[in-house]
Amino acid sequence: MKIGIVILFPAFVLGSSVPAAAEPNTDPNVVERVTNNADLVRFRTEAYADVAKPGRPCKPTKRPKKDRQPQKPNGS
Amino acid sequence: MVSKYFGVAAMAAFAWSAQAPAQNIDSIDSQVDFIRFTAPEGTRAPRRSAIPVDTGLEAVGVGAIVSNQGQEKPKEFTLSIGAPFTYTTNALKTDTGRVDDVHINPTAGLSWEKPLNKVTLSASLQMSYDEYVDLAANDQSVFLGNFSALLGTLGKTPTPYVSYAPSVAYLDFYDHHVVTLHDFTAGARSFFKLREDAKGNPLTSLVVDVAYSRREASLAASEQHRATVTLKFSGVVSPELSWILKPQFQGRFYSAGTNDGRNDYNFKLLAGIEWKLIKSGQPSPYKVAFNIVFERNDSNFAGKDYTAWDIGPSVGYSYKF
Repeated sequence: MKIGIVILFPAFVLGSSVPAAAEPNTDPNVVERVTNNADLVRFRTEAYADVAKPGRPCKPTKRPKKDRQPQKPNGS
Repeated sequence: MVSKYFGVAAMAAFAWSAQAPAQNIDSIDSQVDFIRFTAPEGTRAPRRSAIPVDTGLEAVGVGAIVSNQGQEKPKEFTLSIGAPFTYTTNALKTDTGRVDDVHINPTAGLSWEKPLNKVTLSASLQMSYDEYVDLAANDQSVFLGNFSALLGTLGKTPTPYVSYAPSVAYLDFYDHHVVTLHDFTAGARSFFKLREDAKGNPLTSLVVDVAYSRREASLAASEQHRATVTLKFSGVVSPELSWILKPQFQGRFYSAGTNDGRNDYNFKLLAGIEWKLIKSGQPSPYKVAFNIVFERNDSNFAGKDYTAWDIGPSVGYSYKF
């Protein structure tokens, strides 16, 4: 959670500091089209990043025996 | 025209040159498994990842290499290049007076992923140019970034994540800056293995992603709150062939400028198959895909509804290092 805050906070400050300029001369329809296209590119390129693949690990990590905490005998 | 593709071509050349000394990923994976199998008990390296691969976190544990000490070092970087050639039914995304066209959308990206103890950090940068055959005035380009942290191990239980995703959009080939967007997202993601092989590896899987985003922008009219639900079904038919079905539902609630008070409901659906080329009996980093993308937008503002289909093949290259 801390790492998330560390990443997001400066980014949010940076983003918020960008002035939301008054509407420029660029056609609003062009702005919208370009924006929608950027969203679509992101949507499409992220799609294949996580397709299931055979032969990949999917089970929880099993710690090596040497790393496991030895059990103390009763009464010790 | 040649200069327009210089950036993408340069990245392609880099990928080509960097490929030479690399071993095949699956080949290295086999070595890892073999060494794990033959190493004495107690000296075996841990499994590569506790995180299922169908998570958007594919680099975790994928393409691991083995050092002299038997330790595995995951490859953290992925260079991807793709070029869809698609036919669109509505190039201008308008409700009436639709114009169809064919466009080429070369994209090059570099991504990085670092699994830590309980957090997986990832970052990506991408450049994309979209050139239309007839509607030259619609040519556009964009830089896309994504910096995110997944807070936990992905499984059936929703795992929270946060991300910052900037987009810088231009007309033509990075010629005329149009708008800069800053998306701040908090969400949760779950992974479900729907079908598996004998070894427990996923053959069919589902990722459910629910998120809220705040979009800040250099133009007030682009600022909005977003609520998004994404489902991602994916599966493998064979080592070469995989498929994906990705519907996304998104509410866009504009909050400033001339769009203040506007509410849009956007639906996207991607259905695609991807074929990985086989080289010397092993999957190569080259791939071919065929995608159908459907988009429908409904708005409470007049003239903002539209429907568009985007259909066509794509060639790509992906290299991990």
